[in-house]
Amino acid sequence: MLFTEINYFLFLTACAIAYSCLPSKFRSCFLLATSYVFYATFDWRFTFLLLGQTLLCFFCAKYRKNTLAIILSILELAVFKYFNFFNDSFRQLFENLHLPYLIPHLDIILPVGISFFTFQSLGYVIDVSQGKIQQENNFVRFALFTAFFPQITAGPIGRANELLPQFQEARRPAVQQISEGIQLIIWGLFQKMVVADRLASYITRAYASPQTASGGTLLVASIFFSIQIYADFSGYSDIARGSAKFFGINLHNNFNFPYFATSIPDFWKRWHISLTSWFRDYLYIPMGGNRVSKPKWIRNQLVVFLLSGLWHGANWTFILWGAIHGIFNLVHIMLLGKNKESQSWIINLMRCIVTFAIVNVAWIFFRAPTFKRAIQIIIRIMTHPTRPTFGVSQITFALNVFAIMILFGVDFAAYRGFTGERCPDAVRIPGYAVIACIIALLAVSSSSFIYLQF
Amino acid sequence: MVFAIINILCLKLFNHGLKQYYCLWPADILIIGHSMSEMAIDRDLLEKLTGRSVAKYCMNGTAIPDRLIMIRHYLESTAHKPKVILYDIGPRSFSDGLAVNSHALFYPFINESPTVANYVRSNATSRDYYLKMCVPLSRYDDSRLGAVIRGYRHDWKNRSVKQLNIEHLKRQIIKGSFWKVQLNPDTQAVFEETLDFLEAQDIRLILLYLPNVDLLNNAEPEKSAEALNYIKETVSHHSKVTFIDANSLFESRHELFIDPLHLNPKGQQEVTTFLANKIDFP
Repeated sequence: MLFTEINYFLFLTACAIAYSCLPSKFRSCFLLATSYVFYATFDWRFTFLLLGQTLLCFFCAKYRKNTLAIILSILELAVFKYFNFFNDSFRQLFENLHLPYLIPHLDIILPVGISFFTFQSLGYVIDVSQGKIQQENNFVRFALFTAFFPQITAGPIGRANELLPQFQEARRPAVQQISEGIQLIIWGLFQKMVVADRLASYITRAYASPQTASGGTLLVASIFFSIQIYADFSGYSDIARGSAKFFGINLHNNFNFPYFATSIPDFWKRWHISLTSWFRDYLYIPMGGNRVSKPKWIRNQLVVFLLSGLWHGANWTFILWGAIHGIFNLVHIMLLGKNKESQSWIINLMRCIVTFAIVNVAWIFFRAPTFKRAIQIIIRIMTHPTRPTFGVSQITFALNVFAIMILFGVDFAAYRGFTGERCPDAVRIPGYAVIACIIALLAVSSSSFIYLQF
Repeated sequence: MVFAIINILCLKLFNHGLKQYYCLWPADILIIGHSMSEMAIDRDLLEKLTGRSVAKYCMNGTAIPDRLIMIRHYLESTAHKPKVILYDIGPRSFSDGLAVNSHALFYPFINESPTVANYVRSNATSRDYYLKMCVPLSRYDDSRLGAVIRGYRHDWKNRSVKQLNIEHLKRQIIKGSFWKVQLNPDTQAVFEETLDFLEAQDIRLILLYLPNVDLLNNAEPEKSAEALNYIKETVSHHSKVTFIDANSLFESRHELFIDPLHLNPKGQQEVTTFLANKIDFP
């Protein structure tokens, strides 16, 4: 059940109504049950994996066995997400050395959200062992923390000290929260269905055959991908946050206008905040952070960025993407230090453009299926600076640009603080109604008309 | 409420533009077809050369079953019978694989035409049907929006700047990657139903074999001949139906094509002039 399906919203509405009607002592149980039902709609078999991870972390925290929790959690990720990647890489290496390799490629289905709920539950175990929070003795509440359906599939990765107290209170949502939830969901759907999904077709065509696409087309496709991945991820996070509000739960904001960043370090304070802060708190700082010798500090930075890349996907291109960011992050800090935002908007704008250009190049490696294809794309952009094509049609291209302008227009207004109380209802309510209309008009649907011939 | 108001207002605006583009007004000559007709026949030029009013109701991806709906929709919405219908036909008219979900093309008109409403209801899922009914703006897609704009601008011209890549086409034909000729019996039945319907309405029908690139025509010579023979055989059973071959004269003129099936602006001009001279309009 995806966030963009009507079934999800029927499910969400029914759950929210039932939740509000129930006495508070039953709300956690109910929400836990609905979360497992939600997860089971992807594949019921993996509810056992989710339950297993929950039991593991609950009891490891109780008996202070955090090493066991870490090892088994990483093993779980290694098997389901990374086994074939490393196995196929070793096979390739052995074949290149003309050596036999006997371990076969396995048909492993990747459980939805495994990277998220594993990290979330592991974070709890580490926090308890470090005395940052008290262990949760109520298993139902802890299980809900691990399985809470708005965030289980695509985050944001929650922290126990923020979420467990909210689950304990099990408050009925305030009217204001429901209103905020609806607004977040509308905005999330716009980002996902209007911006991200619409750009996919242009990007796929260009990246599928870069040797025939013009440099201009590939450049546009790379920029579109930067926007697509932001809109897709941010959209999903906003729908998750909006959905959580229906149950009186506040989830952390996961994206803070990352493309307005004025440096790579700044970008990483704004992009996928829940993941970067998780790696900072549970990996970087335990490794010594920046309170070590310079070589070790460089090592710590690179390890975190490489693992961030690997977390995103099981492919060498993701690791390379992480490495590019790690290197630029290091270069920036070592050469320029921790620069603050300039008073001059022109300088900030230029920094923003340079940062976006670096991030954009890195995204090429993220999106391309192989390293070779990514290099091919970059070389073609530089050596064939010809006009871009419009893709399927001029009208589609124009509407895509229109959607992107709305995305960044609204983001910029929010970035400059034109939100909340500063945005009057007379502007906000019609604004969201217009966005909802744009979703109805421009959103991509699986039942759309598809012309197959030329 | 704001959402509902915007939906209703936009729907009125868009539907008006769309009706303009699809020429849903009384005319002497009605052109029915898909993108081939859209690109091959210049409505304004035909009107000028024949001195007759012309309505061009062509939609990308409409197969024979869709076109019967278009004809009925036109007759219903205009309450007018054209003197002649120009209908594009060819060896691939009975093939599958033209488009998916072609009923979605008719969503903008589901509230306005019982024929369209029934057709959509029988092809769309319940979820999609009721969603389109409740949220009018969801009936539109990019192509329809483009048609709305062109409708307000009264722009039916072929504006494509693409060029046919003959070498690429040759490679595709060798690989077998091209739209194959098929004779789907269900489609044939609807075609015959269309001819019978128009005969009952006493409307003259001209079947136009619009130009395709000769390389494509010669890729499956037996099957193409079989399909054309079927068309001619069917035509022979209907007194008010004529078959015109506009393909033979233009198929080898590659400079007139943007791809194996569609003409460029120059091709549109030449084919339209040919039709205006060839067809004896009442």
